[in-house]
Amino acid sequence: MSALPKLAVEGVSHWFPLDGDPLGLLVLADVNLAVAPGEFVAIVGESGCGKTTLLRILGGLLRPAAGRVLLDGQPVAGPTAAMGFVFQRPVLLEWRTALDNVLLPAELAHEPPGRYRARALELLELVGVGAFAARYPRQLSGGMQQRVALARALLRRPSVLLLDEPFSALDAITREQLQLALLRLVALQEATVVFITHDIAEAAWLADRVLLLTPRPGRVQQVFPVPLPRPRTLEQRYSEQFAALTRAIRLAMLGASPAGVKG
Amino acid sequence: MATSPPGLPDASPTGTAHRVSPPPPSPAAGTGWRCRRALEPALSLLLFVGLLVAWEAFVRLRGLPRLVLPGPLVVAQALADGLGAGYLWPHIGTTLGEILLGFLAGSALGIGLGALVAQSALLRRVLNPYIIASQAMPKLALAPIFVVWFGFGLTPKVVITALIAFFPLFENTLTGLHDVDPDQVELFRALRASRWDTFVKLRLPHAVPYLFAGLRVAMVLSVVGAVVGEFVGANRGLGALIIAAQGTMDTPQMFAVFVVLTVLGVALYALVEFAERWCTRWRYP
Repeated sequence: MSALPKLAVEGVSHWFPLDGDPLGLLVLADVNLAVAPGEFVAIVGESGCGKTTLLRILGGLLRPAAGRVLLDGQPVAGPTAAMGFVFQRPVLLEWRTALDNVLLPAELAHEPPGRYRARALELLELVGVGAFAARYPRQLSGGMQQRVALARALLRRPSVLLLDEPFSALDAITREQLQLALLRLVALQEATVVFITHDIAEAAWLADRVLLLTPRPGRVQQVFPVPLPRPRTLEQRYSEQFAALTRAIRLAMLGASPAGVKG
Repeated sequence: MATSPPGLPDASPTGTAHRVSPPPPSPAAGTGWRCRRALEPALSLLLFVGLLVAWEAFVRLRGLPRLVLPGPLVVAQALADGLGAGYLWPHIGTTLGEILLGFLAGSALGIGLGALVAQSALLRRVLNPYIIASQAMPKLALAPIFVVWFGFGLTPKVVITALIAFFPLFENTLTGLHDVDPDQVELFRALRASRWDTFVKLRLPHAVPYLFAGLRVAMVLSVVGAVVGEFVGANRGLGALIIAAQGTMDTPQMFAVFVVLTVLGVALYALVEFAERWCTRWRYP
């Protein structure tokens, strides 16, 4: 209780207006969460449980109907440069080269792109697409595009990285490569990470803590600390400890689901 | 109009925007691709020669007088005479000037007003019925009144050409600025981009292919506008020359002007296409 959490969610609820229903559609119900500096938290839950809504609220893209989000103790009122986003899709600008896409955050903040060029190239190198800096998105595969998006999110050294199912559209091999790249970068950057996913194994392998949300309306059902030491290795994914953890999360998920398996 | 440009026009929600042409097929599409691409121009040329031969044969076999339908050889002769003696050139210059002035003025106005109206959803909704009505109205029908207002000189032709070029650009600018991927808008929001930066760095570049689709249509329509403007009242220009040739029953001369107009239209269209390919290099890796 001593250190100030990097990111704190206090009693956040959210609902969307619904035709014919004065209360609307409740998607998040009283979510509370504290993320320590440098911590990697994964949030899992069934689709439709409000994971993405929660992340958008965390990033200041959406104002919660109730409750608040604190970044370093200060209420989040809108997007800030301290937070970097990676979305489900790469969302690159097709008319810009990979390098110019990575430089976009600096440009929009009216900082001289020249100052960030070396860093952008270094980041592209780190995510494994250094050779493609001059290519247009159309010339890159989906995995390579998402690597560029990751580099873009890190350009201005955000202290918090928010990722919304960033690897869900990729094949298993590419996904594993990108997960390793992410772990490497996050360790280098000492960033605090909130990672949304519906893939339990992904969550358990990447995170320090896995948060399970209930089906809609989403609330924190259970928190699972991940006992695996860092740096994470591929071998850990096949350890018994890991299997037991993912099994526990899966069973907890089934127990809460209305369509859950009995017994 | 001699030919309708490929892929245009298409229907849009408001029934008027011109769709962006799809990017060319990737070179990986089939092994015979390279070979076939090399053969295509040769086939086109062969077809052209075949059509000319058929035309000449038809005219000769039916013994048609040149007043009704001159053969390609007679037309070529008239064309060579007109270009060689030099009397075609000033008319070409006049018409080309009208086309370019009208095209540039109309496009600039269309893009400018389109960008302005795109700033406000309210303005767009209020103006929408007028946009559709003005699209539906045949602009060429206004040519006679323009003669009344602006006389027989350059002005009425430029005005009608500009009016015709205006609408495809206006409509496509609106559509192009508006059709941006919502996720990209969200990205700009997350990066705290100003409204101006979102316009200049997201909406405008996104609209460029739409603008060029509009420019291609506007270019071809501009030729029609200038010629029809000349039909209604002019003593110079290729349209005036057609009317004069009709008066003297000089059909080969009329055909020679058709050829000049077609070449002019194709060349101008190719110019816009060239500019498009250069400005949207990222679509053709």
